Amino acid sequence: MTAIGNIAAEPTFLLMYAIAFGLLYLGIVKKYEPLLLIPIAFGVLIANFPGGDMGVVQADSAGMVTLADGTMRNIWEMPLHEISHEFGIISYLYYALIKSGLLPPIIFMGVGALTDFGPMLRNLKLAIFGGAAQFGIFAVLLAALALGFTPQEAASLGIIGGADGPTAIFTTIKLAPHLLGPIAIAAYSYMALVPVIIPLVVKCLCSKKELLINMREQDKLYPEKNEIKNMKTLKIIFPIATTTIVAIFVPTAVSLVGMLMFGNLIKEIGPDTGRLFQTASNGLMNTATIFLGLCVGATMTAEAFLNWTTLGIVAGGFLAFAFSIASGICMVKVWNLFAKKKINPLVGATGLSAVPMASRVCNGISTKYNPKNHVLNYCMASNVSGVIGSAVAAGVLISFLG
Amino acid sequence: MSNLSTGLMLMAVGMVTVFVILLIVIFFGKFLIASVNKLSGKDNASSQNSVQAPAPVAQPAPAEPVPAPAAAEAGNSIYDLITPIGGRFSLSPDSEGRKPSLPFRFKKGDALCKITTADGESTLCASEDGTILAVLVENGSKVETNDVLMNIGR
Repeated sequence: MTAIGNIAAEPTFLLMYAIAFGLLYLGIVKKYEPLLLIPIAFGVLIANFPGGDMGVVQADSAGMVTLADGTMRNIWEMPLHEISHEFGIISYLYYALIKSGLLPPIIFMGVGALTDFGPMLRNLKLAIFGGAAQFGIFAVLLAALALGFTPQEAASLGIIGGADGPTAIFTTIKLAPHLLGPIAIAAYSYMALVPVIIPLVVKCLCSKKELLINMREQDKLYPEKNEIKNMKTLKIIFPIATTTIVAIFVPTAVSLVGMLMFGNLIKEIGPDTGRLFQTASNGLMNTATIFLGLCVGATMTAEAFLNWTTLGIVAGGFLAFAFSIASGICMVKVWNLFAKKKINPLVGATGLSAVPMASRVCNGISTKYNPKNHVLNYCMASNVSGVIGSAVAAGVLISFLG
Repeated sequence: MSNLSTGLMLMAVGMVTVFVILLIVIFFGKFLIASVNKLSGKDNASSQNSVQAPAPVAQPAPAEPVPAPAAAEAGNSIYDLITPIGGRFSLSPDSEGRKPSLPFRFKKGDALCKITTADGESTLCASEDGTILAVLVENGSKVETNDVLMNIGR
């Protein structure tokens, strides 16, 4: 009856509990993205009790799964209630909500509802640095291919460098669902480690003189030509227009960018859609986060997690982050070689999405050198465009490899 | 090898697409700004009140609260406290949300006010000793980036 016999027979379970307890510790005590890490960590814990049926059953590449009586079935031909009956409710939730690709776009809608495009619209030029920081995705993709990952796995690994949880999960579901657990954990843990990673890379690449560049003074020296007269109208038109453009060029990115912009639109319209905004940014997003976290955690069963690929993901994810930050910084440096109006390299570092933590961290760095030099606003510009950039990159990867 | 060339191709296509999309967003954004400006220019002429909510909040205020004697008392130079971010303005917690009685003396490092954004709270702290001469924004109102919040005397 108890699980003790099974656990004793397969001590790898103990290792999984240790990992779950470790993640819970990081979330509760160290407060690393607790809203996500705790559901994920608890998902890991409950998934690894033999007989508990709370783990996610992964189908092989042909979609075949083994039932309890030893027969093989194609999971895509099984009705949901049967999946629930055979493999437990977490598998049911996983195939209904995650594998179908439903939850990440819903979370993106919530992210959109919490995003302010104002700083980006005020400093439109800086948005380009959000593109440069996507380089890390492709650099790690190449490195992973060289190490022998399949293109699909390599792409899912690289997308961690987009520093965008929902994007990483969405891409992984489409390309390499068997890696979902480790990739989600790597993405969210590194996002939580942004306050450590960014200063590290900045310290390696930037001189004090560059960090002292005061963007506001530069603005005064070389003022913008067209000042925004009617921000409210602009903020309402912007999401509609951006969705249209992105949808035409990268249709596979629409599920992410479209939902992001929809969330943003209902926020910017104001009281007329206030109730929708409330739901999208609170209730719905929190509901989605709970299910996403638990199910992603539950994909980390002992057999799916304990292998060398996981180690590769942990190392590759870090590299992807570091490359993304570094390439953003380098592009600013190149820009500064040619342009009169100098840009603080921290603006490049925030091209890595991770809104708004990256911006806050960079603001902290700049104010450390000069307490009056607030770069927050300028960082938010490249930060927000980084979200669009990584969603577009994900769209490209999915359309080529999916 | 074929995998690597796939990777290189993806890298090239991916980066180009990301940049092209962002460039389009940027130029389209500029076009939008210009056209909205044109439209709102017309609006401005016809109905003054519908455009630019923050301006009327900020502008009439300096007329009344800056008391000349306070300025003289505080010293020579007066400067504006400008918010680096947009959000909901509230006075610092130690004044319990009430307007401090003006002129209000503060020390370096004191919290002057809070700006609450969708992502959290930012506290604006004093970088040197001074005096709040006037609070130009209503407590709890929305402020945009670069709005003037307070007049400060050194």
